[in-house]
Amino acid sequence: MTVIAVVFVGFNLISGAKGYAVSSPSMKDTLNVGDIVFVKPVAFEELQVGDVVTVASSDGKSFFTHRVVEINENDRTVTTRGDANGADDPMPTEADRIVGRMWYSVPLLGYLTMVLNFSMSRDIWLIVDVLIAVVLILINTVLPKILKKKKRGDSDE
Amino acid sequence: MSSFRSIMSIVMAFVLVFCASYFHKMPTTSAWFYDSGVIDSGDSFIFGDLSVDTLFTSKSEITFDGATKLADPEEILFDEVINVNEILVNNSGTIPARIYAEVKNTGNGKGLRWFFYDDAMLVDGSVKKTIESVLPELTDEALYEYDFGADSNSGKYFVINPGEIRTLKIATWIEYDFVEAELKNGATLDGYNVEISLIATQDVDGALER
Repeated sequence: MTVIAVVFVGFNLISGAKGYAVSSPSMKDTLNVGDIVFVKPVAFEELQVGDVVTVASSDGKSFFTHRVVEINENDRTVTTRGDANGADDPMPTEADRIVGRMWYSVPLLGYLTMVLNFSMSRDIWLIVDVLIAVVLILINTVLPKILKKKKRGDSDE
Repeated sequence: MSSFRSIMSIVMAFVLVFCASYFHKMPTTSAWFYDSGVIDSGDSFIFGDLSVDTLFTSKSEITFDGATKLADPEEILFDEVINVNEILVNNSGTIPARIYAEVKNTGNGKGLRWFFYDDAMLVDGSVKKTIESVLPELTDEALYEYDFGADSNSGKYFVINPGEIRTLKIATWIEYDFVEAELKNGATLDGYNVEISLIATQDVDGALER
């Protein structure tokens, strides 16, 4: 499990892709709630109608991922729309708010992010991180020694 | 061999935890929004059609006449000592918007608490009775959940319809237990630096009827 996780995380870190857990159904069928969408930075000039892009708020804390339905090169904005929505998003998005273009998505994996984010704050998670590491180390190092010692004691008797 | 296994166990444990952290720190992508920066226009929060993630901030220094105890049912002076900020909210656009509030204590004063409401919620004209009516119990935890939501991301909000103008209110007060020692030493409850923010977000994701 660790190897798979390392390969997956390492692959995305090295490739420069950023992942976002999908938490609303506005891109249903393309991106469902619980998916993770990975995006890579893209130059405004390379954007095409039909691309799925992730957009950030000015403080960089909020994100949405919708499809580009119109590109306005004069004022460097794009009009976006959720595939499942009945209308375009009400306001054009400026080029510098676009974090990246969808590269690929992984179904269901986003639930892991949502569960982790919902269940505890990041500070508490840091502590839990360390505790998990300590427990795993104990299980893999100390426990075998105790069991070995016990087995040896049993066979001595 | 044994020491190699021990070292690998430690390394793998931390790597696995690192991978879990990667998923934990991953942001979510959700409903559409647009923000057009900070608007600070005194006591009025006027947002347009499409500023659905627009922030209003107002900074002020508040002097409280006294501290109080929310949890104490015998505390009859609660309404006398609270400070109430009124903000006129105007949705000048055509999209219904949710208005959330947040109050930050930017100074060193202790025990600051707040409650977001409007006059339509008031019970017998009393903020204390209103709080009693909406909180399951008069505790800091229940108040926090009302203000910020159970997951700290979905607290009390008001839906302001297109063209609607409504006065929203924020009551602030000081919990006595947090300042008891200072008050006994002659301190006063002045100079509380408070930053009030209102945020307008789209009420529904997409699917806008025009």
